Amino acid sequence: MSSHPSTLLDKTEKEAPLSELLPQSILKLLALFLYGQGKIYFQLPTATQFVLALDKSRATLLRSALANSHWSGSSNTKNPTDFLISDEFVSRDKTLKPTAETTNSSIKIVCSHTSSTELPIIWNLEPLNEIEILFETARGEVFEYGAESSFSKDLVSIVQKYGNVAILEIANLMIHGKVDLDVAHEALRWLGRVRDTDTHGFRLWLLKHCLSSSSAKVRDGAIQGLAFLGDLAGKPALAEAAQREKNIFLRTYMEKVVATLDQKKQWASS
Amino acid sequence: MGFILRMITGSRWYDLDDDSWVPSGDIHGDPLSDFRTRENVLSVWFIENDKSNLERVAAAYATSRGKLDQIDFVLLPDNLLPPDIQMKAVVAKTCDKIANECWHRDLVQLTGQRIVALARQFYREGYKKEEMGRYDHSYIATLIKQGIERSEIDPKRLSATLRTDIESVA
Repeated sequence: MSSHPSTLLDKTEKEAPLSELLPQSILKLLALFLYGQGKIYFQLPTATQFVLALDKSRATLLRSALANSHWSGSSNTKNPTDFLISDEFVSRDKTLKPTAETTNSSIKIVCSHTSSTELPIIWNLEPLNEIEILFETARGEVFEYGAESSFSKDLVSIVQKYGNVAILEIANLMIHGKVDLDVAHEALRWLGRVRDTDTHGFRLWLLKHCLSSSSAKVRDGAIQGLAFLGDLAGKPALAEAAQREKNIFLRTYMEKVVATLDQKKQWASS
Repeated sequence: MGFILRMITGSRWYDLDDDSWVPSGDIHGDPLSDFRTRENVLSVWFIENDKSNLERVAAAYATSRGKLDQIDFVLLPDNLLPPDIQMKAVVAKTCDKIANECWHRDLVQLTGQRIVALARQFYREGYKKEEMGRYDHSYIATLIKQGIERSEIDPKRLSATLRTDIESVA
């Protein structure tokens, strides 16, 4: 099977235009994973289902992100229950035999919602390059609290430009240790500060995920990000992380952020 | 008797517990980033022995920034300042006139060795004695608002971006 995007969808399987089957945000994700994997297998068993096979790390991330975040993507997507995720890999076409690896990492996404928006540019390869370069060139930059850095400005701009695709690729870089720790710390702080409702759910997910990092710097960046995000949905993860935190400085800080969120809850309900 | 306060980036400090590889009398390299001088001068603040002016100094310092953010600091008892380091009272340029005039200090004529000695003292006598703290951004916003209400902080001098950030914090 060719890895070229335009040949990936077999015309005989194309029961409806993709744009009518899938929310735009999912299409963007597909573009990202397609490029990241180099190849991808599409199956369209019904008009509202598709299966994609991708590398294990991104499959894990996507599964985790979809399962643990409120999907606040484009207006085409209503709520997280639009997506069902399973490990099942269905292949109707015997010529598309998945390898053991792709079988293990495949995700079936069932979309109950359809969209009639125009087919977006889904083969845009820019985000991956741009995000990787951004993080790479930020190595060595000295970050200061209370001031924007050239990295933070570019990061905010990339998130606003590419949305959840950017968040997932940042997650992919961070979770696999491809980011300098100081840069990760700064990035997480600013991911909490971005004002962008479309990516709120995925940013919350990534910040919560990073509370479990083995690096104290990454954990601190995640706590600060959650403090800036100010979403009560981050509280249980913070409280749990505080209980297992061994660094007393970070534990105290986590407890303070939890208390601040509690206060916010009280204000909201009063 | 009081303390010398230096604003720091906590993430350069709280992970320093493994000092098994650091030669005796030396210090980790990362905290030195918090002792970058300009014209051989380092800006610090004087904190009263009972720390009664600590929050006001933190709020004052925060008003000199372009964005609302947290404040991390480390305190060193002033009698433990290395003896060959000179300290001068210099008026700062924050939005709190009293803080500027009463509590801001410059450490002057700093050399490489003096900076390392200073950082080492802050590490041993500040960080190791748990004289390190953090005020998160929402608390800083509260302190600035209180400072404005008490007429300690001149709101007209706040940067537009900082003002917007403060207003956005509930």
